[in-house]
Amino acid sequence: MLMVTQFYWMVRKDLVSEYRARQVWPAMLMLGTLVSFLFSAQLDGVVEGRSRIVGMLVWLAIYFAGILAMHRTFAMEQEDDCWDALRLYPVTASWIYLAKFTVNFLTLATLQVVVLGLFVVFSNVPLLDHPLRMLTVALLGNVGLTSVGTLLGGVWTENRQGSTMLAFLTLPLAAPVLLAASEATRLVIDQEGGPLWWRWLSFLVVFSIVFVTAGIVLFELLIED
Amino acid sequence: MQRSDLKIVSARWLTWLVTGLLVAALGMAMRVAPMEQSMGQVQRILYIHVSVAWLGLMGFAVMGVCAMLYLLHRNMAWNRWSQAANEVGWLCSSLTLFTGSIWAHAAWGTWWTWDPRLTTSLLLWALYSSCLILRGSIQESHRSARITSSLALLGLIDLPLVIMATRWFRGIHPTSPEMEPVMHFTLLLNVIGFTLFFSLLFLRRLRQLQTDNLLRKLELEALVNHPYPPLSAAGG
Amino acid sequence: MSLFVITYVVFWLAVALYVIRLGSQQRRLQDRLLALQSQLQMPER
Repeated sequence: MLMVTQFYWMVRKDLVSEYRARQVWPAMLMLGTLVSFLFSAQLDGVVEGRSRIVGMLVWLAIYFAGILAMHRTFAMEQEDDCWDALRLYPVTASWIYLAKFTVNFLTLATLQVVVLGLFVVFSNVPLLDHPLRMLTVALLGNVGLTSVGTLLGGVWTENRQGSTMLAFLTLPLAAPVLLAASEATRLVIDQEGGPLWWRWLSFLVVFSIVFVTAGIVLFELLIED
Repeated sequence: MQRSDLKIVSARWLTWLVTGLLVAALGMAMRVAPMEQSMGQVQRILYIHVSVAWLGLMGFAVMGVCAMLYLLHRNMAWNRWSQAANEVGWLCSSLTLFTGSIWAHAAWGTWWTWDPRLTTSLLLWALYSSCLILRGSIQESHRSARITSSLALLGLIDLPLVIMATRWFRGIHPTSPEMEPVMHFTLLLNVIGFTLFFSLLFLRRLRQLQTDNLLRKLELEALVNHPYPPLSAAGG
Repeated sequence: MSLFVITYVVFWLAVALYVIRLGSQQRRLQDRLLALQSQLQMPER
């Protein structure tokens, strides 16, 4: 019970400080908006294979804007020795990982709502004709990306070199999620359910389980002493 | 200490054995093994391609395990193992992509297809490369080692998932085609020869990294106890 | 020249480049050792 309270306060602290300072979310949402806008503008001339391209572009926009936020959740702890204070908090590193994971999950979910909405409006692709299916894919893709991004964000924790390095470190690891999520999104757009869709979905589930578990187990090992 | 002391203490006979094996493997692959009927001479690429492909995977496993050992003990010695494996493994992985691409061109008329194994080896190469770039880009040694090791370890966890994901795209990569006994033997000889050869390169690189570390310590010590000539001359 | 010969040549060229790099690294290490040696032969302060 105590753990849950402490977990709640760790999540709350990040959300409150973001609400007060507005350091990350505006920049992230703006980047997501602009990228979606530009992608959709170029998509205008494409007639065939639209769904396949949109599937990937949606996830690329989410990935690149989202990694910016994931980098900040740990980088902000570097200022004024916040990280040392957080480590002194009487919880194991796994709980810190879970708290950061939750914050990143919420951040990415907000971004997803904006990006998906913009793609529906701008690109004229029926992304939301099966809202429940799209929601499932979005949630699982979010968990997959966030688990990897949070883990590497905690490892990286560097203000100076910025999020560029983190984006490039995470991409090879997150590539399976991006591939699976875009394939699943394409199948949602093409309204093809069936075994193939379920297979990609189960892959996303497996990936999420593996990396969330890896985060909980390994986080203590990977972060700075 | 003499100049020769620094030379790698590697058994001469081992070097000769590996050279002999490689020459034999090369001869078998180029001349003795029969020509494959449908693909012709180009099929002979297979012998080196399979060898480096296997070594690329092996190297990644070695790198990942050594990275984990570093993270557990925070001992730079393991990081040196992991770095040597990273460099040699990256070379093997790049050569796999190169030879594979030429094979693809000859066999399927295209330089690249998004076949499961091709995608997997491309991502493997990307992971190798990010680790390699990372090692060079961070100055502070323990920080560099920690981040690189984390990436290598997570990459090792990621790899089965990559294989799983890419399996579901339909594949055209041959798994284990039927071969004549001579071809089989040639392949085996190549794999063994290259494994030994790249292991030697790995050990040599490892020894260099160890020597570098030792020299660094000694240089620092010497700088404290024996200042450079101009300094000592001025100071008397 | 057949494609497979070119492949073999490029393959070994790449390996040779790495071996040459190892060799130059080795020479640098030896030079550092010699410098260290001559430094240690100076009288101690």
